[in-house]
Amino acid sequence: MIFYKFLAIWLPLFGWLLAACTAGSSTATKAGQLNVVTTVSPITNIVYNIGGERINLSGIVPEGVNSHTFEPAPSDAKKLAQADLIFINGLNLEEPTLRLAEANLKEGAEIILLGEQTISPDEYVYDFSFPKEAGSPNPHLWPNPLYALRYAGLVRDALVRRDPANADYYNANYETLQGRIEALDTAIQQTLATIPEFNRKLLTYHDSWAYFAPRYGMTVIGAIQPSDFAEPSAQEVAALIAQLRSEQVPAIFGSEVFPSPILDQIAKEAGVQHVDTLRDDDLPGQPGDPNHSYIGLMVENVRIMAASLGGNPDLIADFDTANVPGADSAVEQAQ
Amino acid sequence: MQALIELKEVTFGYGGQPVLEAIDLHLHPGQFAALVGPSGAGKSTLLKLILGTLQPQRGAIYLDGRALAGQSSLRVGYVPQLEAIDWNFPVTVAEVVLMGRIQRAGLWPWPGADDRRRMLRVLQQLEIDHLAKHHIRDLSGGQQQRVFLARALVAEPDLLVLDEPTTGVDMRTAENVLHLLAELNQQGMTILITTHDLNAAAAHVPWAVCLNRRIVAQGPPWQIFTDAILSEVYQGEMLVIRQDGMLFVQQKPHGHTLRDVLPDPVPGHLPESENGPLPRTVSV
Amino acid sequence: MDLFLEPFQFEFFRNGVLAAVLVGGLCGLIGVYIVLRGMSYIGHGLSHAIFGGAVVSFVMAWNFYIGAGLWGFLAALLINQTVQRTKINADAAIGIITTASFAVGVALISRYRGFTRSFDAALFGNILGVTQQDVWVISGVTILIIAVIFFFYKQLLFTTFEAEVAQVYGVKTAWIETLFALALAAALIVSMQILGVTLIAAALVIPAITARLLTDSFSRMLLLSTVAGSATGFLGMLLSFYIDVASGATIVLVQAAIFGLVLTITSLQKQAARRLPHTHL
Repeated sequence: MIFYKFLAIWLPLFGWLLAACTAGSSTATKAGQLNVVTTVSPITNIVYNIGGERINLSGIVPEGVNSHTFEPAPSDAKKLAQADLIFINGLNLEEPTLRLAEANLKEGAEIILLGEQTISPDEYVYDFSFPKEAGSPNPHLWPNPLYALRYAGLVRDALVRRDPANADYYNANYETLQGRIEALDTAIQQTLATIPEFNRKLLTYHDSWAYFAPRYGMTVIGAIQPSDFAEPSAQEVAALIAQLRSEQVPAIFGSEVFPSPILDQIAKEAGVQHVDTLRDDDLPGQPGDPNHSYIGLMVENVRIMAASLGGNPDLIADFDTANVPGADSAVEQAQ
Repeated sequence: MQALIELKEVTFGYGGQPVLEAIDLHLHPGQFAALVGPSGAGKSTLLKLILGTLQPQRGAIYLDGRALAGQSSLRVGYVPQLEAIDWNFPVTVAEVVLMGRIQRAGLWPWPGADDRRRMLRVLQQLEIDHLAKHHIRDLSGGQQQRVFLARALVAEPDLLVLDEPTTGVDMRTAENVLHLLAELNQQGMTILITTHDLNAAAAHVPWAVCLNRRIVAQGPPWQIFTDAILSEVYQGEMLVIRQDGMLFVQQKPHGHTLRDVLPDPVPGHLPESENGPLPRTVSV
Repeated sequence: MDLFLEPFQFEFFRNGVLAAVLVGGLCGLIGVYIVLRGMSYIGHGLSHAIFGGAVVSFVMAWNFYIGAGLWGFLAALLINQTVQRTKINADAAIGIITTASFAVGVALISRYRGFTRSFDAALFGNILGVTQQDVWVISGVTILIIAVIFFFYKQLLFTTFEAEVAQVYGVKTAWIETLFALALAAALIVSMQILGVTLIAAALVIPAITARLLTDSFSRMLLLSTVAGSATGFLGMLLSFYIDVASGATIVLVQAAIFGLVLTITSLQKQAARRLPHTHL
């Protein structure tokens, strides 16, 4: 932890110094653009919404893959070695990737840990999949739009610092994005408010909503995946079924990243609906589609939650989800 | 009379080495014959060819007039060498004998009344019916021999083939087995055996086939077990002694005398017999 | 008692237990033939080969039973042909085929980033994730294999005892051995989920050896081995739930414990019989 704090303070300083010393020929690469590498697609998308087509952007965690256990491949090491900026969620979400990045960092490049710079330790949430004893807090900050906005701010700061020539462009994008995210926040509040109070419970496979739920009056009543990312034990499954039978939620939520046969079984035995379309790190649609964005991701999730829990999904169904700089077909996210 | 088994110019080898060459052999029904020859002479190979587990490379084999390529109408009752058997296998005498009925087996796992009746009859015939429920390893050598013979008989064969029935059992048991086979032969069974035991063959088997890659001689042992013929078959000096209507065969030891083998007697302590002290040397 | 009955209220547990009972019994049954023929290495190798097929099947999004089944049958036939035709180097050939197939599975898992199944579950078995479909398939295969063993009882017995001689007596041993290899493959495929790749071979062997200690009769050995397999499957599954250990491991542990117990008892009996030579114990 201390090490990351160290990095978080000194790396930007160092980078700033470097930028100051080498102003002019600051960080232009062969293509004249910054090489920026990120991990999961929501973060890639946030970076895109700030940097647009003026950066060379690449995300290395394939969509739909379990980011916690993702092991980067040698080809990823190459990308990391050529990167000028590496945006990582941090808070131990992508341990193997972080280590690889540190090992292959080129001179003058920076790793930015977004999570650690967004919240302070007393804002950390420990819970079902991320118990305090295991040492790591829940790292899923971005489902909370305000945190996502802070990520965007950090991204803007870094881009402006490293590529001052395009500073106006980055700033303008940020302003636009801010407006949209604040509108999104309001829309989510309104939509989720239509869910009857006794239904505002989330039981998911993976514990992704720990920072999202409290903001909107929802409660995370459990997560099925144990902290070591193995499959739950039979006893844990039995306990969950018993819990569901007594809690009486209308639906439980899986995710396509995690195996659903167990969730299907739990739902069947508890007599609840199993909805497996929530995503937390897999953008809807295809690159280039208007809903292939962070905002699109949250809109879709909230729509599903509202529909499954007895609320009104229409309130958010038509929200504008397009990316600020336009279609993101050129953004490279690993497959 | 149509031969029961006929081999014409049969040749077989493993990987270029010939094991059997130009074998011409026929056995007629009711014959009792012994295949003799040294190890590696091709006795087992010849059996396998007759049984159909090997195919000749040249020549043809006919069983009961029909070429042995498809199913012959001939039923062969085969008794393997005792050494080859897994005595620890969890089967009883009855279960082994019933295996012989496999050709006529129905769909069900249990034996039919007919099968059981025939099995009992054969066991009685071989005087081992009291052993029916015994595990096969709880038997003496002779009894074991009879169990597998019973299995062959219960298949109601036209031909009995036994691989080394005199090997691995004591002399008395070997005698009994051959005696038994001779009895069966008298009742009309055609029998072919292989054996190392020339003396037993000479005493009990009316027809011998001397094999060493080729058929060196065939005929009644009394006629063909001569020094010359057997020496050629065994590629070594053989001595044949006829005495009291019996025939004895012995391979001459190379250049030894008994004197070289026996220890020198302690002076004053000559080995005794009831006729006085034994001579110091016995020359052969 | 309540504690014992408690997990049975859950359907997933009932499915798991049923599957374990069937699978345990099935492996016990087939295991008798495996053990008497000294073919344990084939059971081990074939299970590893099937693993490769299971992974391929997942990657191609085929139904597990169809994909792993085809692959497993192919591997079984290949092994069978190798054993029948080249008796000398059977070990080496089988070793290569099966480990290569396993390696294919591992390689695919490494490359295919989207592999979301638990590797542990595949290797060691998992009480969870036994669906209704699985139970139907396991039941079907069990009935089929029992039927095969029933209707080909005599041929299988003779072939297992003395394959060459059986052939002389008219048994189509090549067909019988092929049929058996396919039955083995089928049994392994349905057992894989409960027992896991690494421990299936043990479940094939231990109940049969335990039964052998208790009887000299082939048919009784079949019965005892099947019963032992089923009973240990049941107990092992219960244990897996309560102590939170992979089901393959708990089942095999129970089987090993029972074997140890039977061995001790029968040894003591033999010793006692020796000391009292005129008594029939």
